[in-house]
Amino acid sequence: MECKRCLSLLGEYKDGELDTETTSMLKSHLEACPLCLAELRSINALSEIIASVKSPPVPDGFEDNVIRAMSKSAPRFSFIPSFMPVFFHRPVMALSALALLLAGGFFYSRQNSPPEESYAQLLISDAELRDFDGEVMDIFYGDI
Amino acid sequence: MEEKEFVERLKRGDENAYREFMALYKDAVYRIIYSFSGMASEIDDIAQDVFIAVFRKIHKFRLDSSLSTWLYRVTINKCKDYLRKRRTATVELNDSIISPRPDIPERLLNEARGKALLATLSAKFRSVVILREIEGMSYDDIARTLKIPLGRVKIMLFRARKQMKEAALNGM
Ligand SMILES: [Zn+2]
Repeated sequence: MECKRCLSLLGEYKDGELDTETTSMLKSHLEACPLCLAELRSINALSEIIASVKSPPVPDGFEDNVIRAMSKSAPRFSFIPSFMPVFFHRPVMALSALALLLAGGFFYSRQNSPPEESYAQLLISDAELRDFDGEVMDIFYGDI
Repeated sequence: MEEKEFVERLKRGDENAYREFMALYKDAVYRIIYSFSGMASEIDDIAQDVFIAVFRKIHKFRLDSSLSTWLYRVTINKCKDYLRKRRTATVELNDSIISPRPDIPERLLNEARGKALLATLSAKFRSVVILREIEGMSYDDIARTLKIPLGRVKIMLFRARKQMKEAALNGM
């Protein structure tokens, strides 16, 4: 295996994503090539540094808070009578309640429609993909 | 537990199922939010939002992906929404760049470096790095979570690592 190929695969090697054949080819290259081995060490070190980012602990009662927040903001229509003017005649009241329900339902469904989950912005263009090999060359061979 | 059965319980609004689900995943959700935003101050709110969004939309969930994959996707989207609203977050992250000082334990120093390095990445690269390096996901799972092709996961990780390495060499 050439250095260029080895260097482009080191991340996948470290992540255990290579098939056995490629892994053993890469391993034997690493035994003979201090340059690639040094690069592997730096990838490992980087990985260790990122993995050391630890979040603060989840507070006690987190589940309770979520359940409470959900029941607070859930669409519950029992609130409607409480602010309906008492002098409304029943049919009017029923109609208004229906209108409110519809409006509320509409609002609710809009408010809760899923956010844009398309990861279109994550996509790398085909042109970028084509550049990839060239880039690997530049990264590792630019200053050799 | 059978995932299908569990999803059914969530769809029925079974409060115990909600609690079990949160108990199982809250740590991961916190880790992702924190490493994404670098800030402790609003994790609680974002994490709450994540679970509420998942429970509210559970009726739309189909078993063609796993529940955890879906949860991670929602979490990352919430983080991105949040950062979009608060562009200053990255500035705060960059403040944590520190030079070695003997009174800071190595662990904390590494953590500060880790946050600073993550902050150098765009949101899309950061997502991939966090799922890989902090959550230990396989490339396949990352691809499923972010709905991107496997090849792109490889390229994005490669580039993100290259970028972080350069940042590290430039004194981070
Ligand atoms: Zn080599």
